[in-house]
Amino acid sequence: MTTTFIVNLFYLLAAVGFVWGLRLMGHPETARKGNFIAGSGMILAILAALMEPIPGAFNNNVWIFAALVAGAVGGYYMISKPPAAATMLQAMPIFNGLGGASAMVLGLAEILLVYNGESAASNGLLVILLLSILIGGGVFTGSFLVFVKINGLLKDGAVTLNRHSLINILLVTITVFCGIFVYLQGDKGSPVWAILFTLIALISGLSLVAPIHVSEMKWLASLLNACSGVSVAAVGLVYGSHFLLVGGMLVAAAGLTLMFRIRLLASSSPVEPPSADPIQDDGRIVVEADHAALPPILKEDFYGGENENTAATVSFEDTLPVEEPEAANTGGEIRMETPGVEPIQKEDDLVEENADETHTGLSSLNQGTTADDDDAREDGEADPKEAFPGSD
Amino acid sequence: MTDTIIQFFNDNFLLVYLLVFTILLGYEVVSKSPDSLYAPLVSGVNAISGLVLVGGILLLRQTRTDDYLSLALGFLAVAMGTANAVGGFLATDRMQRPFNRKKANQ
Repeated sequence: MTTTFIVNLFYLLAAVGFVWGLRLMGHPETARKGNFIAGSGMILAILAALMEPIPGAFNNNVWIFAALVAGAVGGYYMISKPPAAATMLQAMPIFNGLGGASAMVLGLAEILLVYNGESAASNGLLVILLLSILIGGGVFTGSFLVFVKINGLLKDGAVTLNRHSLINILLVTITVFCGIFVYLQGDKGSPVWAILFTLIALISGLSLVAPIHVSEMKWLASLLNACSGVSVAAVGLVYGSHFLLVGGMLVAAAGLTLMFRIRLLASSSPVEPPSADPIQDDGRIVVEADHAALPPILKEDFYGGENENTAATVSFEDTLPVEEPEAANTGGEIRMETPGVEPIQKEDDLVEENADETHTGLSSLNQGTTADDDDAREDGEADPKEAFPGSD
Repeated sequence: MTDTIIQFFNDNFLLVYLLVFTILLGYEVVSKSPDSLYAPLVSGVNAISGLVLVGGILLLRQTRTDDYLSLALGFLAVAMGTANAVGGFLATDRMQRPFNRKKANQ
């Protein structure tokens, strides 16, 4: 009685810790504290799962602790290799894939138990198990491919086949039919079909991610995150655990929201970084992060801290190309009409003067000022107040 | 079919409430964060999804001691879930370090 109360309290506190931790992670000053609180929530959840009174439980404590230690050591080992913060997000998809694989393995184990006659099969349970296998397996291999692509280990397009979308449609159809077949067999099915379904789910994950370009990996990582949240929620339904259900749906909702926001950020910026005139009125340089670029640049972009300025000026940038030809013309006219300007000055001196006075519309003359551009950009990055305007 | 769905909905209305509000909460909690924090946030959300290891623990605890296949699968599930959680939280912490440094400089 008391144990049940404590266990439920722990689960509740863990869920609150996740929500509160995510909330704190959304502010630069409290981000690390938020991570700590979410991690504490995870420890509470593990304690609660170990203490939870289950009638007729076998409590394979040795196995559980061995698995916990193995996982912790493995996770620590994987994280200890890359030294810089920049590479951390490149390591992230691997962890996400492990979470998906965990859900897949759980679904497979439960469906095998159903076939052995050890747990009762209902139609709802079968659907949920198949869902957790499908989503978990897809997340596993998909995240692995994202990891490979994001680290530049694979040439882009190297894994894309001819008519790849047709193959994907075929694969999805096969997966759906195989799932329906396994479902219709009920608890009399053979494990072969369940394993076949798992294999197809794994292949689908690879194939669906394969044609996607490296520049799209950021939001894809977040989407796979959300998918692994859904598979966690499915596992929660299997075990009747409201905590897993709530936590999984929280992850799914947060991951989906982040995906849409990252996509919005990426789509509102020009695909090609504008070669013309990134100088703003206040002298700052606004160069959009190059989303179509190679992994080294991706790293910087993931690193965070510099993107806030670009986001604030995105709408400005959008209107710029439209105005540009006009501005260039008027700039030329003004130059001709300015009384103080000698005709001899036309080449180099003029560039510097105009760079100070009229910042827009010097697209053809800007090559001379690139050195200044670099300096100004570095200044902008080094200033912490610009990186976090709201944190004062 | 429709009756079944409506019946399910009526029977589990509290669960539906819980899910809808959880989804709203998940949206609301990350939607107002600044753009520079997206990378640590994605990583943090990823770390939280490591809670699937709780499901693995529940499976292991209910498995018969001589059912080695289920034990092995449960072991795998718990180990991978733990790796996800531990690695995710450590990675998030590393990604958040620059923010603390900048705050100290300010």
